Amino acid sequence: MSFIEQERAMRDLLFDAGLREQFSAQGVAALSAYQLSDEEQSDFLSIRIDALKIDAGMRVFMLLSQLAAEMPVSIVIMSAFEKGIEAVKAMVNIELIKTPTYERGALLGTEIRDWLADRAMPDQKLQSMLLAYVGAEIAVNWSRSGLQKAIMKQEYIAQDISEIPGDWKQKPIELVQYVSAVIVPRSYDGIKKMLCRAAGDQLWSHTSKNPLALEQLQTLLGDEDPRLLVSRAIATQQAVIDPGVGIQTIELSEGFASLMQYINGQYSTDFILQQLNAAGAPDQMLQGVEAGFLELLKTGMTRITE
Amino acid sequence: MATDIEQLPVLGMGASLSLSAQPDPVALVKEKGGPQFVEYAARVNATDVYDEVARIRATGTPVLFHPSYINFCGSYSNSDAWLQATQQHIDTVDSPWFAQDCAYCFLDERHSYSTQLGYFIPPILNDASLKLAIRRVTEVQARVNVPVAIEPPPMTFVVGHMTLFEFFGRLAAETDCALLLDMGHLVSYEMASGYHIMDELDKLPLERVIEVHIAGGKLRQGDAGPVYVDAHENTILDETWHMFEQLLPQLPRVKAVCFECEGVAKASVLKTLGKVREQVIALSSHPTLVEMAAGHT
Repeated sequence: MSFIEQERAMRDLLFDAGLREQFSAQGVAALSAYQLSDEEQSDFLSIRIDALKIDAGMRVFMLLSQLAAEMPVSIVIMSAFEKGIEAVKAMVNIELIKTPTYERGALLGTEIRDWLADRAMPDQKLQSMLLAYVGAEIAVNWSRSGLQKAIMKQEYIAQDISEIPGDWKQKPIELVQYVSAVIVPRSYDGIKKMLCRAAGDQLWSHTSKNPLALEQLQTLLGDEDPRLLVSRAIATQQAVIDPGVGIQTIELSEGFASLMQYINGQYSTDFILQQLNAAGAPDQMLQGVEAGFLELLKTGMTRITE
Repeated sequence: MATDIEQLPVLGMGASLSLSAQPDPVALVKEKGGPQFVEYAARVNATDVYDEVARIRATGTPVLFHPSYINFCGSYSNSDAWLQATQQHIDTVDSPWFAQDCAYCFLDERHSYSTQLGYFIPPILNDASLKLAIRRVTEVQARVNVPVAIEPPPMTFVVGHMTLFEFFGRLAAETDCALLLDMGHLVSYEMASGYHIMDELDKLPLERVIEVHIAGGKLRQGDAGPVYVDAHENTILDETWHMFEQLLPQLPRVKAVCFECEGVAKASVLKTLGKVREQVIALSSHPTLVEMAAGHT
């Protein structure tokens, strides 16, 4: 018998659709699992159930408006499936509400990935393409939440992008923290531009009213031209109580993926180029690899190892 | 901090605006008939809004900081670090008082914004909740060096046996805090509860009301009747105007009347502010507020 149980029941009525349905059917008897006295239980008699349902629906809308901005391509993909929109709405539940805000994007992405993995699709290639885009957005969100947590725990030390020395190619390089690299079937930015007809907090509103047809999704995805999507979480506000984190991305050729393991602080760009040259890589490829290493360094995704 | 309402400045007719979106607050305050103060919501760290607020204040226009991250009710206390940053924010922008909805912004130990719950969750209206709300308001007052004003939030649904004004009346009296009344929120309570605000006036210390909000909204039709939804980009509903007309004469010490109009076109803001001013002149029982309204026409 405690007030905190009343608070828990109120929260659950707002974010647990199953409990809300029970409450609608049975009234306060649906709250028997909570440690409430008769008087505490009777406080819930004043709820207008139709209004509670409207309120809960508005909260789902508001929360998905925020989350869609973090998982844009995944949300539009879900809209292309029968009951996909309803499935996403159902993912806004008690578990999500209990999750820290900075980890909610990744949690939603994981649920979307699992849902898509269980779907029967016209072909397996389509499924793997879709899962790759969702996986890329999950990876970006994990980088974002990792940095946010580090700032809050005062474990993050900001590092400015230093001037690139003339002899950068001779120096070993390493990835900085909060960087992720994922292969996507085609340019992520290109796909996002094609699929997302609204931006930011308008995306959910637009997509839920204008879902994509599956055939349209397949057409827009087109043929594969794999790219390596490299993303980095950046501190935009290094404040312990309410940090700001942004995301920077670049795209490299798919072949770069196999080289990422060598960006570990032991090898220089020149060393890697020499190994590729010895393996018979053509000049054009070597030039592309060198340009990729330089871009990673310029954007602060790698740094020269001290 | 104890509330000396007499000492608070009369700010007149203002507008609640988004600092990073249209209409531009600075352009608006320079217009004839524009707002006499600007209220804004923002993140806790003042650095986010410092430049924008400085632009507004450079025109001689005061600002009010009106956030959505304080728990003025419930079991979960506000973190010291967030309250400290709040005080810094208030100092930086020179907000003469600190007002926010008395509602849940977070439901565990992690201090956060109400947006993480969709928006505010209203307080439970019973004695146990009132005791905790007193504790929450007091803990904020202890860390903030300007008067605190609490606002009944939008109420789509009601949990508890107490009426809204009994809860807020007792809360204000126990904590010696000021009050902010949002006309649309009161309409929402009437629809959610079936009670009439005008029948409850004797339960609220009306002399503690220092600020009034009026804003756009919409009605969603439920099975048991309409549900009021706060929607600042929409026009002000007749029900809300009616609440304003009934209540304004009952509020002798209102210092600020704020049209919440984020996302509303500049011409509409000016037109509505004109109507608000006319109503204040016709109905307010606060002479200085009426003078400020009249001086602007």
